[in-house]
Amino acid sequence: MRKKLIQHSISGVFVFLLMGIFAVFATVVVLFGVKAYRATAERAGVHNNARITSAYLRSMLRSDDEADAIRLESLDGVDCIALYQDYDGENYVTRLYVWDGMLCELFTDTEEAFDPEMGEAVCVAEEMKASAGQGLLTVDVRTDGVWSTVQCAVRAANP
Amino acid sequence: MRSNNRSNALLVELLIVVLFFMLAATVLLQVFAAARNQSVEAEQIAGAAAEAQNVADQLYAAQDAEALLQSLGFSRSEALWVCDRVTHRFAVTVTEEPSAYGVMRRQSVRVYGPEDREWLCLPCSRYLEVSP
Repeated sequence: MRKKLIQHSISGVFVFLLMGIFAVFATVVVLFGVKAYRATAERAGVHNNARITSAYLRSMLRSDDEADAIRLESLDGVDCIALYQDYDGENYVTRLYVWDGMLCELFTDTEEAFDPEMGEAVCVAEEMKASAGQGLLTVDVRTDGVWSTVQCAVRAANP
Repeated sequence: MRSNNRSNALLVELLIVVLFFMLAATVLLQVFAAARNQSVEAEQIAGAAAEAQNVADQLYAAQDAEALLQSLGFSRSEALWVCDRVTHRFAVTVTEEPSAYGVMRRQSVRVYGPEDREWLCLPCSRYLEVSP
């Protein structure tokens, strides 16, 4: 009778031990999954921001590749890439600049004064430096702490 | 006797559950690893594409393609200009076809990943006029 009682209590402990191991493993796998998913999503997010900013800048420069249409300006201490356009004899300018942690776009009449607050935030960017020379426009952009470079051979423009 | 049988059945049941859990965990770990690898590879391809676009645009703008490639760290290997990175390799071809009014410079930038798998090809040919 006593032997039977001991056997029963050992099997009970074993069941609890097994359940405990099961619970620990389940928690470890869930935590690991959360960590892996978070790291992947974070990495993709940072990378996507940099890629979107670079692709946007490149497409804007390409779309306005006309003679003397792309200029680098510094207005009120804000460095801008200015893309000049002519619609029905009226002159307009699209200015790209970094303001308040965002790359902004401001489309105005060339006569209108530049107000960086009025621009539309397009994508994440902390800093932007642009330079030009020998038909090549180089734009360095810092996104989420990472610098990326966009080099664009502007075919007709002379920045 | 009856209680002992019930306890054994419970144990077997738990062991089966643990076994299934282990199988599920193995599959999950493989999925996580694959997702991470895909994310890393996508990042590498996008980075290489951005770099290749920059090289292509610099080649387009350059007057002397060979001097530019040398300054960018490319080395000549037969008809190709190659530059090795940690995760990928750039291969640039430059051929020139002179004509009466100028030179047609055919250029392309190719990027190869692991096992020489071609990731992308960017043509950036340019016609250079010769002033009379």
